[in-house]
Amino acid sequence: MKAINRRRFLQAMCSSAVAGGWMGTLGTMQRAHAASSLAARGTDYKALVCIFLDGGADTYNILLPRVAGTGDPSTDYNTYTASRTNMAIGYDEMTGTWDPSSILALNGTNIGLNPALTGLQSLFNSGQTAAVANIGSLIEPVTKAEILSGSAVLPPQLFSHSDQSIQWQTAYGDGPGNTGWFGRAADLLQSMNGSGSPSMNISVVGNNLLQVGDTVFPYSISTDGPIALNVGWDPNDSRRNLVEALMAAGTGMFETEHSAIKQRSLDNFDLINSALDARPPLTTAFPDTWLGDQLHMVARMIDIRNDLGASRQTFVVNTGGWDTHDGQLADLPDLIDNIGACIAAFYDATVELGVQNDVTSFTQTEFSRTLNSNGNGTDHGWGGHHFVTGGAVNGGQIYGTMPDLTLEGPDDIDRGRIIPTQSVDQYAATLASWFGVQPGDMDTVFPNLGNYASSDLGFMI
Amino acid sequence: MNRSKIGLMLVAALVISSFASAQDGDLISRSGFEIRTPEGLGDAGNFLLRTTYGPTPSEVANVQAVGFEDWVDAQLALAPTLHRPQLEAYGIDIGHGERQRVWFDTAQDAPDQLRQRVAFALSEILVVSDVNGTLEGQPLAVAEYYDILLRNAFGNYRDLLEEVTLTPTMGIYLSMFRSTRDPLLGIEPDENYAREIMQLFSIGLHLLNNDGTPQLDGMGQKIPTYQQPHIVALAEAFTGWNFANADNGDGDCEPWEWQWPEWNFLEPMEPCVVTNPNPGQPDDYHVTTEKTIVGDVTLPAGQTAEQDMEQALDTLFEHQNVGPFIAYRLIQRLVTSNPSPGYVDRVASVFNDNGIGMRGDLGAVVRAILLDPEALDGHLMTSTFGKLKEPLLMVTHLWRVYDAEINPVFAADRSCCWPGAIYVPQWWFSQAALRSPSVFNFFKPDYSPPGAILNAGLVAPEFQIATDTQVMDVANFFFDTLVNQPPPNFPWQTEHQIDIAALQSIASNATLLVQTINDDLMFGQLDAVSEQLIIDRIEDIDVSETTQRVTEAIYFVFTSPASLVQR
Repeated sequence: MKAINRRRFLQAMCSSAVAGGWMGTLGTMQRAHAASSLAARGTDYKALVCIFLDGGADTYNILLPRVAGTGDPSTDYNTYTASRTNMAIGYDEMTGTWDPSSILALNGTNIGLNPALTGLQSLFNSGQTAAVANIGSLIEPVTKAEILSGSAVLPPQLFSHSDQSIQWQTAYGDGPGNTGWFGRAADLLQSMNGSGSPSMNISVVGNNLLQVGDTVFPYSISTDGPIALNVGWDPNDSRRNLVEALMAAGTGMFETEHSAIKQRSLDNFDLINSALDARPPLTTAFPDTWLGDQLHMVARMIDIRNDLGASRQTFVVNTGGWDTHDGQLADLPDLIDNIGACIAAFYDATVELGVQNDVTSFTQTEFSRTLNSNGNGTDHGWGGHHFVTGGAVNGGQIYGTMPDLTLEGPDDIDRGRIIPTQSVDQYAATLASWFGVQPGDMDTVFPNLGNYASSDLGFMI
Repeated sequence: MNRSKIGLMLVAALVISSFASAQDGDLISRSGFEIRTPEGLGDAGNFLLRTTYGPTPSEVANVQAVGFEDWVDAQLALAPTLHRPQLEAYGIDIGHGERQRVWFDTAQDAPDQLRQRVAFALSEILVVSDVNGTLEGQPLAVAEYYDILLRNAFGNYRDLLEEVTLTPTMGIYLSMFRSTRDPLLGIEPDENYAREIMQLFSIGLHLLNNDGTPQLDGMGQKIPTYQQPHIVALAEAFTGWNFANADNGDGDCEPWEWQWPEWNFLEPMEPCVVTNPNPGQPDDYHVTTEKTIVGDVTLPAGQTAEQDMEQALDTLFEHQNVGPFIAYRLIQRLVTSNPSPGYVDRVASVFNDNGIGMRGDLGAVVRAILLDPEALDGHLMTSTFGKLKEPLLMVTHLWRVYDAEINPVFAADRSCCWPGAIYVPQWWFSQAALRSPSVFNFFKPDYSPPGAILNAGLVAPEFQIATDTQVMDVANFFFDTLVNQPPPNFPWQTEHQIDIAALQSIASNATLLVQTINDDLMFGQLDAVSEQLIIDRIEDIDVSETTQRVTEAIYFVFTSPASLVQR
């Protein structure tokens, strides 16, 4: 929710309040934890950061043709404008003409980037960012002929927000939908982190399926870190102890679940908050947006990885507003500008922390959008393009095949809903393999991976 | 109630008695249930947790006096306390913060508590939100939308569906507003509303049995309710709508009138009909080709926008799924997260037929939900009955029980006061009326927290927002506004003040104090162990510190695990 940030409000209030005891209670619960038990077992460190574009991002206006007249319908700007009409980048409403000159060049290709993505353009051209073409939720590879004849095996409820969001998080198109692939990877890898270390799956967006495993669950923090339980001036911990005693006395399914969350939050607060407080602020500037605040917090959590005994961490951040049925021309430039600026700032922060080769960020969204216009927006599509960034990325390339952008063409079901040629499973498996999921475990984490010719799309070094 | 008595009731449930007329006010008894009388404080209090914004002592006494059935019937007869007129009374500078304030004011004082609660439940099913580039500037339109939910809360679901569909607020939020086809520009009708009205507002994604369980095909798979071509066809049916009077009353929609109509957010949308096309203008902004919508129902070619709308909404409304779909969601909002199939079936049957042959009677549905034996005795039938309370409803509960009043300083200067919960409730509670992050509400009906609840195959929607940070935010809200209040003359004051005078007068007796608060807020249902733990703590506070004794006792009782759950 943009423009609403209680913690900034709190900071403003604290800074303007005159001295008084009633606000200054957040720091009273510092408790020392034995750091020795938290030492990571290994010396290596890796983190994956999922940037979820909530609502279904129009990635066909993010990675797009920039040359008119190539004659190849997957790279020709004229094919693109014929399909996208008034939604095309470079469309001039006054003259009804199209001009690709603002589209940013990517080295060695006829494909370009949205004009707002200057930061991502440099990262691509210098080799830290890879583009991955036309990914979508699938169960197995499908052709247009199979779909038209009804013989294709397809994920349920294609084009529904909730279902395709689940499919992207599970990377298991026909699975039960009770765990996500970060969660299943964490089930296998959590033991790499020290005993007593918090969950390796850390969310800045609240509850999500991606980070749910059978044994590892997401742990949520705010953009300012964990939240203290405010019990006022409590020198003998008498109030805190009573809170914990009442939780222990509770019975019943809902009560026990709620207390488990609250106890976990209490237990993690002291460790994480004191570690965050002990670090100098990052010098890298982040965009002053919800996504920027989240990625700033992720960088700070990476900074305290040793305090947490963390050898592996996953993070989920998000940015909303992508369901551009309406007002796309007005809204999309700011949305796109923000993700480019945030991805670039986050990469810079990993350089500042010296972990740029150990941290990989990647985008996902439930689906891309129809190529054709509904007047002032676009509707739910299917396959779309994504970006992976980090020092371990074999960047500067587009992985996979750009789709034919012709309406009613070979890659279009209808209205420019593009049939994916690479699956979420393959995209995720490539990341998971780098992260440390062993070859023998890949089929456990990605049960449908064997349905595809390749289990590694090659974009990680 | 003992086990044999429940057994008798379950047997009674199988006895289907003959038709009864709705005038008898006796819709439930046609299923053979005897609606029992309230048994004690807890029974009445738990009932009022489902039906009000917080059980006040006088209302608890009222339920005990008149019984569940008469209480519901009296509430069904009350006229709605509308929000938009209250918001307009603020005069200039009306924003969504004032809209939230009206919501809190109404929750606190309105006599039509049941209607308000049902409207709030509907606002979490038929979602619009001020988290929207256009609606963030239209607080009156969003308040008017809420009033539509209030006026129709006990009306007919078909009428509600139509009013919701045609309000410009929904038209903007899910972009049916000004949807059309333009072959010259390659523009297709907007699919947004067509998809979500089916997925979220009426029939859902797969075919249901009347008890809410999914129908399965021969392979054991769920059966999709509709296919993508049905969405495209419904999107075509929903074309041609604009603000009321967009044609300026002359019966001919000029291109500039279609494109730049005069704003009118408070009246239902109307078709903007072209009678005299300009060069290059479409003959009609409504798509008039034949359409095949859900259930393979044909909308004939050549129908007007209104005709397609009527037939499309009739088709959705008559679909077999609507009864169990709406019954399940309303039961979850009011009573329990995991209703039994039998409970859903009984309520859906009332949706299908209220006893005098009418489908979609929401008043009868609400009555059936609240007076069902599973609502009244579910806590005796299964340990998993009930639900995590919504944090917003905990706040209104506390404020109603202890007669909270807005700080008088707040009226003159909002910046006076802590903690900002009236205007931006989501800071503390991760929710606020009609302020969801998306049309999928703050939480989904099928959300299940990982761990014991998920492993048991159960759901608990409210846990979707109960994160490590939110559980602290909610507890801290109560600590800050109860215990941690600023001293007099401090620059910041608390927004609401509750009336604790009566409790202060007994504060020297810690046992009596905690037991009284247990009765006030939990109807005496806080377990003895927890109660004693709190008594011990209060006895450690100097007996002269009556305010501290009272506020801490309220805090610890109200944030105890048992208090967070509705049974």
